Amino acid sequence: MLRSRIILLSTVLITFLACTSARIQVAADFPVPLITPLPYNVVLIIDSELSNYEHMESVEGQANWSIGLGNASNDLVTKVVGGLFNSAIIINNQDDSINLDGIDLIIYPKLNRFEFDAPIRGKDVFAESWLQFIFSAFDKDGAPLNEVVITGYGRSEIFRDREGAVNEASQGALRDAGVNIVSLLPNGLDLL
Amino acid sequence: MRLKSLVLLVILSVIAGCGITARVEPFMEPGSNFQLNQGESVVILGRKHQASFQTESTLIDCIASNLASGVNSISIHSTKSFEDALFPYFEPSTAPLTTVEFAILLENELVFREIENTGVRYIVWLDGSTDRTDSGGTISCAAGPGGAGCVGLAWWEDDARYDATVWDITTQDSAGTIYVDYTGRSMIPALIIPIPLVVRTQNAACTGLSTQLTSFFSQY
Repeated sequence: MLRSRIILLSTVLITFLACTSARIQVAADFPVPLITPLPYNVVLIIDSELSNYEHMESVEGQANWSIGLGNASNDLVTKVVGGLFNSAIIINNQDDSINLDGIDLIIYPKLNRFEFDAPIRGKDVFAESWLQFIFSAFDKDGAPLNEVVITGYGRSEIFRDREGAVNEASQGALRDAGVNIVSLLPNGLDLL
Repeated sequence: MRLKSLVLLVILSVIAGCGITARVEPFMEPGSNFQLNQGESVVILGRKHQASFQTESTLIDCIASNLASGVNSISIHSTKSFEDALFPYFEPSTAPLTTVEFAILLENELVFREIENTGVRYIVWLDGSTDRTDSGGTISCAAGPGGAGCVGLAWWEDDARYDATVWDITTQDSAGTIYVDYTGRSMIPALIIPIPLVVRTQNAACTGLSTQLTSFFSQY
């Protein structure tokens, strides 16, 4: 009797929690850009802040959202910056020791802001995501050179699966940021 | 007897109220030949640059699946693999909107060579969306010790309006356009039990566009 009550209570609790929290891991599946690489050798710092980035937000009248963007951001930046330059050495920490001979530039990307919207009702049936990266560049002695702000926007129509739509919109925002990295980063870093 | 006739009349008028109005306008550019040689394929891409709507991926998948099957099936290249291979040139913010922009894009040798590698000969651009244009009516439901039931009528109208423009990679020009507009009214009449009579407008648009595209490609 007690056992069945516990099972019933657990089921109710799990159902309640499932209804009030939405957890998304944005898929990491980005292409390498089809461009002629710039003749620079760079070091790209992908730290744990970027590769573990998670956006947590409690939306009034909705669920507690947890959107994991770290893996996807890491994949995007690695592939796009990797394709943009002649060579890109990836390190995971600013303190990692590395031979900087032949390196022209050190690039440190940071996911600065992320916002999303997934309306429940009304005529607006799109989930939307917006994000902002800041790309800081340093010379090989560590002296700061420039900062470039890169934004991305994505949206996806909500049919039944709101979490899936937010995932797709966030992927779209990252992909759009990838387009902007290709078109704005070289100019922003005075590399052209 | 009179009541039975009345109920029958109501049911008939409800069913008659459901349905689809279709308008299909295919246009083939003079001199176009929709010929696919060995190893050549077609890719279907959706326009996503508009602020108020974007072409649904479900429609793209539906048309791709229809064109790839049946007696006059044609070789379809995966939309995602095409967009990935040509990244970042066919993204919502960068995709060419006109054949002039397309011809300029093809001047980029990297792009031209990559398109050649994919084997894609024709690009079908889908532009449009399915929207709810009107709705009304009410259904009231109640339950008691003696049972439960609903009474009323709810209805809605969907409009699926799309343009499919076919670009020929070889000529770097438009080969043809198909415009479709399907308006469908769905209803849920309820007399104790609600009976949904749903008209799938987007599916109808998919079938209409697929039929026209197949007829373009099967002429040669």
